[in-house]
Amino acid sequence: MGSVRQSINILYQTTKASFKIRNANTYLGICWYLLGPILTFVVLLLVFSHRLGADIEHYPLYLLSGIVIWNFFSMGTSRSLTCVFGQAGLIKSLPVRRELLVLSTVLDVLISHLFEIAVLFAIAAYYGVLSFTVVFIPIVLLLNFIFTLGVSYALAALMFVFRDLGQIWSIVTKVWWFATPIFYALYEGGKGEKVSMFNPMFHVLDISRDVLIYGTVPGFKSLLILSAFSFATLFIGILIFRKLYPHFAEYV
Amino acid sequence: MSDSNVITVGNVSKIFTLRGEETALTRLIKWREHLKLPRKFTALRNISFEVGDGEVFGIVGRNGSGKSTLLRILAGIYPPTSGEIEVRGRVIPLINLQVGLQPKLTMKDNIFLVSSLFGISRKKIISNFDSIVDFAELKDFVNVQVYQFSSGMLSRLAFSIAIHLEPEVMLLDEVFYAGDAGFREKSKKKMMELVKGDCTVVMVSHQDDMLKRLCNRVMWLDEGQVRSIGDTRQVLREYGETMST
Repeated sequence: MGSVRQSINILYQTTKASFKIRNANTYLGICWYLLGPILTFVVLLLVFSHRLGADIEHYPLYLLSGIVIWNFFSMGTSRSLTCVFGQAGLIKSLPVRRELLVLSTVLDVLISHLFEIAVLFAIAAYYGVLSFTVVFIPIVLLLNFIFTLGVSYALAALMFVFRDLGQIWSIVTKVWWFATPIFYALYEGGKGEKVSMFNPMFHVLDISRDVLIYGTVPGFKSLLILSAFSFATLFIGILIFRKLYPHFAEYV
Repeated sequence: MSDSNVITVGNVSKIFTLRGEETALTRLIKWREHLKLPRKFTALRNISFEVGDGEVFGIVGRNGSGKSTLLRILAGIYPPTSGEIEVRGRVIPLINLQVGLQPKLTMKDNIFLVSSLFGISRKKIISNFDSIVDFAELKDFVNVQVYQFSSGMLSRLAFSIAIHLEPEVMLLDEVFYAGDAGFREKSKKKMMELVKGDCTVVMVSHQDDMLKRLCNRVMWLDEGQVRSIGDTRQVLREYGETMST
């Protein structure tokens, strides 16, 4: 059991370190967590609010929530790509539990994500749309976290096999960004809706917006699909990680 | 027989696959070289030995004989290709002393980070903190980001953290002593204290005097195979003879 305590300790220290290092490189530090999404938000709002955004109720909130939630997935996964691969010296010298490196990276991004959620809450309160349904936010947050973690484990491990994964993933996320209704809304009953059923991020956004902006209790079907996707992804991600794990130190 | 053995190594072999250029284009251009590349390299061949509780076990051999590979396998960094290994107790591998030090973090943060990576509890780190700082002679730099440290300071810090870990099993890979003569003397003394204590030690070294003073037994590895295991002086003499020919 000393091992579990040890792991928690290591997790705490590496997450803290990851957080501090992220802030250490820039002058504004933590401010970028908020500034980044807000700047993207302002640009997209200016471009789309009169066209695509005209039909969407509370478009600014809709847009910002999309950006912020997508940001967690995007940053969490892209930082995980190099979190083990980039620590070649460490994994070749210490038998540290490598899953903890990935977990601490995603946790670190989660912490900054919570800041952004707080800002979303504040804006929603300002617009007067907050209702009791926000109690569902932690659930959808958790599911997003699990999904992101699963993808992160897979990416961190596959980086050792496909050196180009960084480039590939960057393109994949760009396309995925457009395919997800972040700055637009899907036509009811259109083709887009059917395809989006298979996009876990669509479900995360859909449910998050329902509970935060529109005061609707999340649909059971939606929650079920998202949960299934998230846990399956985590399971597969960990499987891939464990399979490639023993040989990390030899491939780098 | 194996009850008191802390480390048991049974018939271990390690084969590495050698890789050439990684990118598609260079592989295309340099395809001829790829044909010539020896695909597999056997670093260790059927190694077996045991180390008892509290014993200090030395490993000598020429560069490339497999010593570091063996140590890494013992540390659990990668698995053997075949054979069995059993190591009981908390393993502290000191293969690369400056591992884990993050340039952008302060010395204080680094002490906590690195010590945790080695498995030390937060309480223990707090109680050892002052001692670590004192031994490294870096009292004025606790809140300074370590990218500003000189290489000597980094080595002293790394070494100081290392000797405050509480190993049950210690794996030393040619741990060099950095700093000026005074610090080096201090380091050697502290290292000897640690080694002579309760922990089981496997040390790879080229320094005959340290081996003679500390090791109960020594193993001579040559090109991945065990040439000789036994009494320190005897094995060192056998090894030394091949060096002078």
